[in-house]
Amino acid sequence: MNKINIFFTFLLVVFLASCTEKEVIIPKYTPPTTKKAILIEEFTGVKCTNCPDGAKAIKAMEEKYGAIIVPIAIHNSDYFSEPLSENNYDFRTEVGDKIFGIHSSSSIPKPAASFNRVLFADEEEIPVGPSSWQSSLETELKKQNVTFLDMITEYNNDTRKLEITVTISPTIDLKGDFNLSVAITESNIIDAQTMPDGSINDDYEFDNVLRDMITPFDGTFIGSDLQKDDKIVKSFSYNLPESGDLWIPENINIIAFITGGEKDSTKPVLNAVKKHLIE
Amino acid sequence: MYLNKTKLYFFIVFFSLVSSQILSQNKGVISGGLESNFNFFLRDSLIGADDIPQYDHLLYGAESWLNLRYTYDTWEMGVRFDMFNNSNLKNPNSNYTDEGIGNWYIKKKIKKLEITAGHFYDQIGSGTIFRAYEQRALFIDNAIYGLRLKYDISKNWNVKAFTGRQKLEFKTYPAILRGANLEGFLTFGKEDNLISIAPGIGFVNRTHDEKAIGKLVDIIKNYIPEEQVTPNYNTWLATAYSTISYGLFTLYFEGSYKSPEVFFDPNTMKTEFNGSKTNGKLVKKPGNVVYTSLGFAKNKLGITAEFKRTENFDFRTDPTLTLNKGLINFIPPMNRLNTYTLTARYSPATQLLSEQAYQFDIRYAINRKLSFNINYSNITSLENELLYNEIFTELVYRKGRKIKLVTGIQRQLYNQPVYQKEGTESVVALTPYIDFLYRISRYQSINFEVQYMSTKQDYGSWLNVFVEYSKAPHWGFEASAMYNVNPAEHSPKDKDGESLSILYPSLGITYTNGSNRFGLRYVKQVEGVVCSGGVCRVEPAFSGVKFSVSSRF
Repeated sequence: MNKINIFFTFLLVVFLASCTEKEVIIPKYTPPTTKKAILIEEFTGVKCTNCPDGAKAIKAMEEKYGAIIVPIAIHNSDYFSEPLSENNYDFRTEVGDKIFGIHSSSSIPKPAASFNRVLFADEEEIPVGPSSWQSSLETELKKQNVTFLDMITEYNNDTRKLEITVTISPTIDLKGDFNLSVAITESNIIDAQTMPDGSINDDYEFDNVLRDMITPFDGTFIGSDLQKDDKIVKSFSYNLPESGDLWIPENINIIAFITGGEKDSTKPVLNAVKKHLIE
Repeated sequence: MYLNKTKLYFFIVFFSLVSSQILSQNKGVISGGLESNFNFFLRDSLIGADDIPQYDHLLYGAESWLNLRYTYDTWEMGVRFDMFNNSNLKNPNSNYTDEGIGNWYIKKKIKKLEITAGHFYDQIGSGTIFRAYEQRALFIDNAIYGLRLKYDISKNWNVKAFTGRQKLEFKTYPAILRGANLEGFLTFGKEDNLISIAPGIGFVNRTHDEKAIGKLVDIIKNYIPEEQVTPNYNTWLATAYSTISYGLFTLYFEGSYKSPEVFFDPNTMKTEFNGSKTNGKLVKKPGNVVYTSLGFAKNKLGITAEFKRTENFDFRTDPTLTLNKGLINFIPPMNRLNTYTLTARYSPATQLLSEQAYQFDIRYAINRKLSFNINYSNITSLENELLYNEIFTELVYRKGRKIKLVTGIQRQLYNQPVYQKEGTESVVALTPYIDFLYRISRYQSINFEVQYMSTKQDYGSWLNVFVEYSKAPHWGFEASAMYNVNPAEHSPKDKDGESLSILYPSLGITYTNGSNRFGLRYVKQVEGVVCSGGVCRVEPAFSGVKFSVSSRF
């Protein structure tokens, strides 16, 4: 019996051995060198108490990483996006619902955001919760940029007519089918939002709200099996609606992004670009 | 079909052994069971049973588990076939299809040593540092895929140790888990003054792989320097527990500790790069749980008191996982397990980071006909925010074998913003109920239940009526109707935004023949929270027909 006890005591000691490990080093932050932009589609709502924090986190990313962060706030139709009685506006749009349909087949907890529409390892849905935003962003920042993307916008304030020219040029050969999407977002909109403490803030500022798509919601087809250095130019025109306190040209952003790939049902975003309508 | 080489070899060995036993006429035993659900989806956009592929175009989903277990002498082998066809079990809002060997194991007893290789379920103590278990209704299958050794040191003492990885559907998570557990049984004193003690200690270790650490480092390096934390590859947990019985009293206590590890705390403020503050960040803290229960039983009286305190004890195979994914431990719930549709509508999920709770339960049989039960539970966060409070009363009246009447009232406060991340105020509900069972004859009985939930929050007030007629030993017929009497904010709305009073009916029939059971139900079900042992998830509304088959052999 004593021998057995000694054996198991020894086994336990062996089991518990090596409790100390070499410390993991956290590297210093260095700005990313990639020219690949990250399209962040944030699914949000005026009744979602955690969404103001989500918006703040994305704004912080924009300020930290600069122009490579291209955010769109989508108020897709669900309970969280139903306007409050205090709301002046309804941010839900038909295209927003259709875009959400690309990401998920059903309702999801909010806030949630997709990063270049990539389905990340260990995730069940393309949109992920705030705890996974930074790691998703880091994963995308490590990827190579495979397309040059540029956009020129011209706006006539008298006619409210907008002309857009997008130039795409792959930097490597790309297999598969590719689409170009052009979206319109609006910032600095003041309206009511439920805050994390459950209160209603009547003067909450909404940024990057998806207002419309100039292309179809899933983009316009630009070609298959693109060759390196091919140059694809697409032009669009759009008339900004007259709508009281909304559709203010100074608050409007135009966003273009390329989606697609080989036999990939999620059709990730390859690159994106954002321009203020009035610089 | 998914079948890797290990499973293929296992199959060959399994069926070779079984075949040889059959041919040689030895008395090995094969047992097993089948559980199958077939769901036919009928879209009902009014109640929210829509906008998922099953309602839009798939129309059908199924899940099935077939267990086989072979025992012979000191050998035991098991294999389970799992199948999911457009199933909504993994994610109630989506469809999941996969099939293959979901579980297999070989077990052998060699004198005092028991060896298990393959998948196994187990726990240490009450599960606070380790519990590998299966809960099909919540799509939880946390089996460990690895090796387990158990050794009987003496008649009253045994030790076990294991190493492996946690199962993830038909794969495994990358983190390595290992653990050890020593349990015993001691008695002191004489027969009329006996004290018995069943002590135990346990340890668990989780080792991350490089990829998981890299993912954490990627996140942490973006934090401002003052908020950066250093992740560890290894996290250790230890627990000590004991059941002490003396006379009419039984005391259980358990204390558990987790070494500092990096985990996501949704309630800690993070300073963003631009100085703004947002909720939720990775923190590095130790954790602890204290759980104790004291029971007293004498004649017709039974009293139980329980207390639990949990601090930073969310232990997962990967700390970036959320909801019910990758949980390694299990912390017992601290509220009554309610069974009626409306009394169980609001069940609190165990809070793993910050919870303090206590519960009292008193049962007393006044005489052979009349007995009662009073239960009180209270759950707060460690910051003293009230999360859940329940008073439940139950009076049971029996008249011979013919009549059984159960009635009572429940009062609940349920912090919906915390538990479901919905709404802005707690649900306060008062729910009287009555349950009447009448045995018409030796083979026939009828059961009638009515519950009324009065609340102004969430969906508002409900009336639920349930009738069941049983004709033993084969048939069962049931019908129920749940009606949203006074709809409130979360109830479905019409085009003008007005809340609607909707009836949710169900009809069902069951047929039992020996160990085979068949069930067919038409179900229209409101969205709600489904819990099992304090582990919960939100289930969306359902509309359709459910056919189930279960069998034991």
